[in-house]
Amino acid sequence: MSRVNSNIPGCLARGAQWSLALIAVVLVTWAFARVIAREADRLIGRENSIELVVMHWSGGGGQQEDQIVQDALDRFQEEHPDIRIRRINAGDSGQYFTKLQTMMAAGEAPDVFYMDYARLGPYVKAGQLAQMDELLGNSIDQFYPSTIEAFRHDGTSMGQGPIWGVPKDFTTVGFYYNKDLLERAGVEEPSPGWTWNDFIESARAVGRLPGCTGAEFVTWPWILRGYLWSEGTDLADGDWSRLRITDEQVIGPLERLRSWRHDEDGTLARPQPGIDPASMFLTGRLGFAGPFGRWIVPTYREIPAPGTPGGFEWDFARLPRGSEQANVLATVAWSMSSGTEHPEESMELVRWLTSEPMQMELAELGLAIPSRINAAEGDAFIDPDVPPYRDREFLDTVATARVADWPDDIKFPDEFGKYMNMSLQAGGSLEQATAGFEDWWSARRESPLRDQHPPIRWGLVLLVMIACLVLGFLCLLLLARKTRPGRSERSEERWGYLLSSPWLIGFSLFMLFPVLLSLVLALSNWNGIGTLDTAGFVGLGNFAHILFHDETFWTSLKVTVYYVILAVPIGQVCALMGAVLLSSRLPGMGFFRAAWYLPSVLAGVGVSILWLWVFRQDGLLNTLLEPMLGLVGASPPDWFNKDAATWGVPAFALMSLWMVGASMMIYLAGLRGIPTSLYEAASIDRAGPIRQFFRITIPMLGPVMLFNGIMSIIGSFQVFTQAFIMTGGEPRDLTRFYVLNIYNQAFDYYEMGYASALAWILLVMVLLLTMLVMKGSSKFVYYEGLR
Amino acid sequence: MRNPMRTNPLAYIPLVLGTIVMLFPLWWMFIVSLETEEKAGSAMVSGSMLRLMPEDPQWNNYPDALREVGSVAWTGFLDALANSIVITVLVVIGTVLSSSLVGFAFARIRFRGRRFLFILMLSTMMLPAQVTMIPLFLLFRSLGWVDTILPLVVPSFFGTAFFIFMYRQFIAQIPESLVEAARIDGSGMLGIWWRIILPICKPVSALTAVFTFIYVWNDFMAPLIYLHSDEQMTLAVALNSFRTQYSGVEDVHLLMAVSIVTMVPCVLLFLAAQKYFIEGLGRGGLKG
Repeated sequence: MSRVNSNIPGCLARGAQWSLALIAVVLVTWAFARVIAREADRLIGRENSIELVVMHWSGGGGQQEDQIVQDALDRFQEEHPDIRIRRINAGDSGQYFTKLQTMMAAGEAPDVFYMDYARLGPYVKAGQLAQMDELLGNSIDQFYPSTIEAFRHDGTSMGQGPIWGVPKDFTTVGFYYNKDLLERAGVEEPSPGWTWNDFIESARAVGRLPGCTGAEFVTWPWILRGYLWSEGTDLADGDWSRLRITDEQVIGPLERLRSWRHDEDGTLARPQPGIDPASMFLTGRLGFAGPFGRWIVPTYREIPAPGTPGGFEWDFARLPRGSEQANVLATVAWSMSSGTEHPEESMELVRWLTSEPMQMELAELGLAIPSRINAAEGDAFIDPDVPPYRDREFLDTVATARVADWPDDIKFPDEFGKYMNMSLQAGGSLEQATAGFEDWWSARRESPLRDQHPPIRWGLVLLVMIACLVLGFLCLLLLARKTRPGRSERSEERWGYLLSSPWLIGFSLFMLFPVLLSLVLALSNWNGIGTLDTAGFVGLGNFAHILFHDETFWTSLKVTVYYVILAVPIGQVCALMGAVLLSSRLPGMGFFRAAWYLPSVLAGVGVSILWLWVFRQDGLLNTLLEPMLGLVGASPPDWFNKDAATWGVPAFALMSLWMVGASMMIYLAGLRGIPTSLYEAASIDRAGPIRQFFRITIPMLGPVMLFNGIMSIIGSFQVFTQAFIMTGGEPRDLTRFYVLNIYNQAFDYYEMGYASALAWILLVMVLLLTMLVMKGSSKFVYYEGLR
Repeated sequence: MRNPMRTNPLAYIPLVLGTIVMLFPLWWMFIVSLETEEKAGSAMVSGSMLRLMPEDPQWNNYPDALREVGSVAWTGFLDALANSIVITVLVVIGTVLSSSLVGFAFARIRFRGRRFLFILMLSTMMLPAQVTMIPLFLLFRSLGWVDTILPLVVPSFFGTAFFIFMYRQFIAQIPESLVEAARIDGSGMLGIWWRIILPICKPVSALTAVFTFIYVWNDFMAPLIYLHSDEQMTLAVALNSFRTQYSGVEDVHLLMAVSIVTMVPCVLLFLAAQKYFIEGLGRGGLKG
């Protein structure tokens, strides 16, 4: 038996342990008390009152915005004592729609919630929203007309038909600029009539200052629309029947934008994955940031006053004009669920939330521009004492602004952005990008998945499922009857079933049923917003489309397989080597063991954030690599950006090595289980250490290696959190891991059926691979005591 | 000589190097969490990120950051902390009990269909959670469990494939003589599980507890889907919301501070359990 090595004196360690245990007990007791008290409260409070569920997200306003919504709800409850309101804050807007969709799919939609104009279409089509025309009535004139238009939708296109939400705020876009830098560069502040030429000349001047960059120019799809409008053109005909993206008039401005960023140095900032582009402005080394809307103001107001460290003077200017004055508008509304049990109360609440006093309060926060004309034009919003001083720049462009409408396909804007960024952000050829996008769109439009399909008959599905289960059970019973066990064996068998029953029950409830349901979904075109009744049967259509028309599928598969090939073998070798090292009988081993395992304990959001900053171009790793690689005349890679094609996936593999501790600990436990006598016998036979390692250690670790290997393969196929947080699949899908793609299809595009099909393909692949490993290993893995 | 590296002091060289690789990023994270806002922000763009010691540590970054978690100052953080603790503790208990029981059945009890069920169970591990997510939500909703901790806790009492596999692999290596002796003594299977298997499996249980703790503590997909109210949120979800709200370069120090706070319980639990399970391994029946 080995003595436990510890570099802390025994009694001190024991004391620390006892106090830790004490703290743990106190914390756990406190936590249970707090949760139980709260739940009891909730159960009592639930009786007999009308409960409305309100859901929103918090934008740049953070807790302040939360507080304003909460205050409004509190006051509403004071006036309506019979109504109780439960407020749900779903975090940022991305998570928000994931959550809204899941709740709607389950028939648990909140009563009143935020709705983004760009997401309106699918929700209207699924019949999830209530009409707001009646509520607005005559007060419709009090809103900026373009904000109201944004929430009209007739089920196929935007801008006509009933109104589905009452706008709460809106914004136009433009550039925020650093006054001090502009002055240093010797350029004028933008005038209301400034042009793209003025913009780029100023940016170039700032870019020439040492250590400074001219401008951050974001190329989000809807921003690009505004950019094109300002040159009097658009990417398609009005009814989306024909893309005009390869026309001279469209290519021209886009090519100019690409050239600004990539043919010049220091004029436009290059993208940094995982970093909010808006935040580069805060460093004081960026001339212009945009085109952004009003939402960024609360963040920028935290810039220290000029003269204090890190402080500078800043302001806002509208979108520059090209051949025309144009602007693009974004807006969010309060909408109401069509399925609410309390339509009148919900309606009343929406009225309350979009009332003038409420809008005034939001306006004072500076976060949003009120959608009511009176509120926006008043003093609450236009405040000459705090930056931006030119608040009117936002309002004066409303007349020329409109929302970016999109075709009736939720993937369109994202795919458009993706193809454009291959060129505009990554610097590739624009012709290739536009041609690629045209191909994608024509394949998409001709896909049979978009046709009408017969609805799935769920009654029949249920019947078939039950029949299959009964049949399967009968088959098993028949098979079992063939081998008649003896009496004692029968009693053992009963124990076997009894002891494994928790898993059997759990499996049927939480695995088998959901899996069967998801199999049916894989054959459907269910969009995840409507109820299950809206699912149409498409047969193997999803699979056909995945295999023959889906480029993203093949990219994500390539990325994932590359990762598995890199991460699994290297990770396992490292884990085993580490375990051997850690099993050394030397003082201080306790410390090393703890240190090497520590990173694995922390796997999660925090670690992903950490590694993003390790892998940045000027990040921790490259700072260390630079002097070393400099000796041989090389420079470190730009992991997730320029060199993502070669280094993106290896970066993730490298990161996984850091967290290989779990495998290592299992190997270590396995090493300690190897009888000493074997090594003693080998020593007597004069076998050297290397021989001992390959003849004793490796064979004895067989089952553990098999276990670790399989778990590692499975885990590697399911990489999600790291990719989701660090790159989000960017750039150009080069880090879009398979499961991330499933998540995107399901929760960004609502294609539940399609995502289920993807998941099933993954399942089959991993299953086959694992069986291959198991079969290959059965020859040399040795189990002691396994019957 | 049990293995080649056993007593060779040269082993310290790779050990120390490895330790630096493992710990330095965390130390650096800690340094960043103590930076002033200006320094944290400028470090991110100017490439001067490499620092070995904190200069002018801003300890109040921690309370400042924690106050901002959730939508109500402090309450958001405390609620999230309590929820995470309750859920984690319950899931750990459920997982250890059920997984060891089922693992025992798969390793030591002969019954028809065992091999089939075992392979079936292995294959469930390969099932991406995304496949079952929506159907499971529909199921829990029909049970009226949405916005309670039940969907997060109850399934763990039915065993987790990963840990069942782990228990099964370890129990399979226990010498037959130990189990046989108990069987001759007339103990029932439940008795053998409780009196022999569970004590021998202490190291596995410690590993299971640590793994489960880490997994549950850091998981954010499941709580995000099943819990709706602010007050029901777990710490991981709260951190994730915090991340999306504080994604600018100027907030690095706050982000790092909150991240570190969410990590501390995992670190402490591991440090405590690490000593325990290594002792357990030495004492336990694994040596044969």
